Amino acid sequence: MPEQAINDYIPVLLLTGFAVSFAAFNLVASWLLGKKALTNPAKDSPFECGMVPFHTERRRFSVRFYVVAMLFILFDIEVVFLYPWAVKFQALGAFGFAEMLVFLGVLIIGWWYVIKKGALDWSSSRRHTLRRSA
Amino acid sequence: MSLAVLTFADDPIFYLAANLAKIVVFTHIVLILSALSVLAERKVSAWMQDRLGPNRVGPGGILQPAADALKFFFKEDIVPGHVDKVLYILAPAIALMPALIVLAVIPYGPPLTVLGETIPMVIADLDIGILFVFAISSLGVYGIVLAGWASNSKYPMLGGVRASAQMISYEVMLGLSVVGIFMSTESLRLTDVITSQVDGTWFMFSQPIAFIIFVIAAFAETNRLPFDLPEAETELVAGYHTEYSSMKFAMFFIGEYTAMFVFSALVAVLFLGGWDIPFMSNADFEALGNWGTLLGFLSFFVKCLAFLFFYIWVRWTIPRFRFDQLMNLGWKVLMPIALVNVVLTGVVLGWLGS
Amino acid sequence: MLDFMFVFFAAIALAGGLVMAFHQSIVHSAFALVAVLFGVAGLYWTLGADLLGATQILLYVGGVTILLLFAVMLSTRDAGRLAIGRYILMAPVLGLLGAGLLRVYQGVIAISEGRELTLLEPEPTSDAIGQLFVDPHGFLLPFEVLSVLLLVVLVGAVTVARQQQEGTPDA
Repeated sequence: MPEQAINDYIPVLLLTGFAVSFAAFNLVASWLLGKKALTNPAKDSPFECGMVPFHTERRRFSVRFYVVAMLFILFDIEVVFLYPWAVKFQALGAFGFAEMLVFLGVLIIGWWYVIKKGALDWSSSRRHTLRRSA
Repeated sequence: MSLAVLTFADDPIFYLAANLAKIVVFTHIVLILSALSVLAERKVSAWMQDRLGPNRVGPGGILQPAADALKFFFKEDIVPGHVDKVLYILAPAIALMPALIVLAVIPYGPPLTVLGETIPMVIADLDIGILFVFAISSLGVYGIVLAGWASNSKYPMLGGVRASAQMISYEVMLGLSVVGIFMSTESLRLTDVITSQVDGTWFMFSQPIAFIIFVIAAFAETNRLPFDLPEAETELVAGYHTEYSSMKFAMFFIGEYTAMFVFSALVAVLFLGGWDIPFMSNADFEALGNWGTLLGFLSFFVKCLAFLFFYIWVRWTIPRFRFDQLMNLGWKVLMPIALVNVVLTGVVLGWLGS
Repeated sequence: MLDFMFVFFAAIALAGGLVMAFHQSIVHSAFALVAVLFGVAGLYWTLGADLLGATQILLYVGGVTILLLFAVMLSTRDAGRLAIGRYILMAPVLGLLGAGLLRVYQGVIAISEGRELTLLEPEPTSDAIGQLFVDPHGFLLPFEVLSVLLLVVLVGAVTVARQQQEGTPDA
C-alpha cells in the first residue's frame, strides 16, 4: 500500500482545507458584517468612467493570445520532461545529455519557426506601424 | 537528509497535532507578514517619494493593516447586477488559495526536536517539491481570468486576458531557469536544495543566469511593476478587480502579497541558501540543536524580507513595460537564454564529473 | 485512509463531470473541467504517482483548460449559452460509445476478479521516469518521437493563427 505517499500528502490536504476555510470565512464574514448593498441602476452598470457603456464587453480577442497559450503548453511539456531528466542527469552521462540535446533541438526549430513567421509579433498589426510612422 | 521522520502510522495523534500546529503557525506568520508588507510598501513608497506615509494608526502606523482589514469587513458588499454571480464570488477565493497551498513545501528552517521527535520545519517535504510549486501556482491564473470574465466589463476583461497570457508565458521561463539547479542537486526536494547549498556555494553564485531569469519571471508572475500590465491603472483603471469591492477586493490583495512572499521564499530557498548562514555547515546547525533551528529560521525570514523590499524598490525604479515588449522579452530573449543555461550547466557538470 | 482518499477524489471528479456535462454556459463547463482534472490528479496521488499528478495539474489545468477558455473567448460573441438542440443528433452515437466503454470496463473487472491485488510501495517517481527516458528498451524512441509531434503541433498552431490573423481585433 502506498502508505508513504499518503503520509506525505496528508499535510497538503490539511493545508488545502485551511486555505478553503480561510477564503470561505472571508467571504461569509464580509457578507454577514458588511453593510447590505444598496443598488441603483448606475451602480449596477459596468465601470466606464461615468459614461454609459454601449456594448457588451464579452467580445473577441486577438488570436495571438491563443498562440501564446499553445506555445505555453508545448514548452511546458518540455519543462516537465526536463525535470526527471535533470534529476538523473549525472547518472545518465553523455548519452542522456546527447538525447536531451536532440529533444531540445527539435523544439528549438519549432520555436524558431514561430518567431520567423511572426506569430508572436504583437506590434506587427497595421495600426501600430501606422502610429509609429506618423 | 536521512532523519527518522515521524509518520502518520507511528503516532497519528502526535502527527496530526504537529502538522496542524505547523500549518497554523506558518500560515499565520506568512499572512501577518503579507499584511505588514502592504504597510511596508506604503511606507517605503512614501520614503522614496519624500512623504510620510501612513502614521496615524498605532505607533508609526504599525496597526494600519489591522484597521484596513476591519474596514474591509464592514464595507458595503456589492455584487453588481451585470456579473456572473457564481464565478464572481468564487474568483477571489480561487485567487487567494494557490498562494497559501504552495506554502506547504517551503522549508522554513532546519528540523526542530520536540519531545524527542524530529519535526521537519516544512509542512510537507514532497519528493516532487519544485514541480508541486509550479503546478499549484499555475492555478493562480484562474482567479484572475475568472474575475475578468465574470465581471462582464471592459477593463477587467482586458486585464484578465492580459494577465493570463503574461502568467502562462513567464511560467515557462520560471520552470526552465531552475532546471540547472536540479541537475546539480539530483533531487527535486526543496530541503535537499538547501542542504546542498549549506555545505556548498549558494546557487545565486553558481547559477547567476538562472538567478536573473528567475527573478524577472517572479516579478511577471506576481504582476508587479515593471510587469503590472494586468492592473496598469493608467490604461485599465484597476484591471481584473475593477468591479470588486469590500472583502472580495481585499482577497485579491492578500493573494497578491502572499504570492509575493511565496516567490521571495522561493528565491531564498533556490538561490540564497534558504536557512543557510555563511560559514556554517549542516553539521554546525545540527550541533546547535533547536538554537540552530531558530538561527536558520531568522536567516530565512531575513532573506525573504530583503527580497520583499527589493520588490518595492524596483516598483519605484523601473517604468512599466508595454505588452509587446513584455512578450518579446519572455519568448524571444529569456527563453533561449534559459535553454542555453541548461546546456551550459550540462557541459560544465559533465566536464567536472569526468 | 486509502479508501477515503479514493472516494474523496473520485467524488470531486464525478461531480465536476456532471456539472460540465449539464451546465449551459461553456465557461462554467470549462471551470467544472478543472474540478474533473483536479480529481483525477488526486487519484494519481493516492496511487503514489505524484509526478504524474503534478504534471496533470501543470499541463491540463494550468495549460489546456486556459487554452480552452481562450478559444471560447476568441470564438463566440457572447461567450456563453450553448444551443444543445443542435447537437441532439450526436446523442445516439455518444450513447453507443458510452455503452461500449461500459462493456470494456465490465471486461476489465471480469479479468481482475479473484486476483490478489498488491500495490507496490512507490519509489520516488521522478527518478525512475528519468531513467526510462534514456533506456533504449524503455521510452527512448517515444520520447524523441514526441519532440517531433510537438514540433508538428507548433507549426499547426502558427498556420491556424496566421489564417485568422486578418480581421481580428487587437486586445
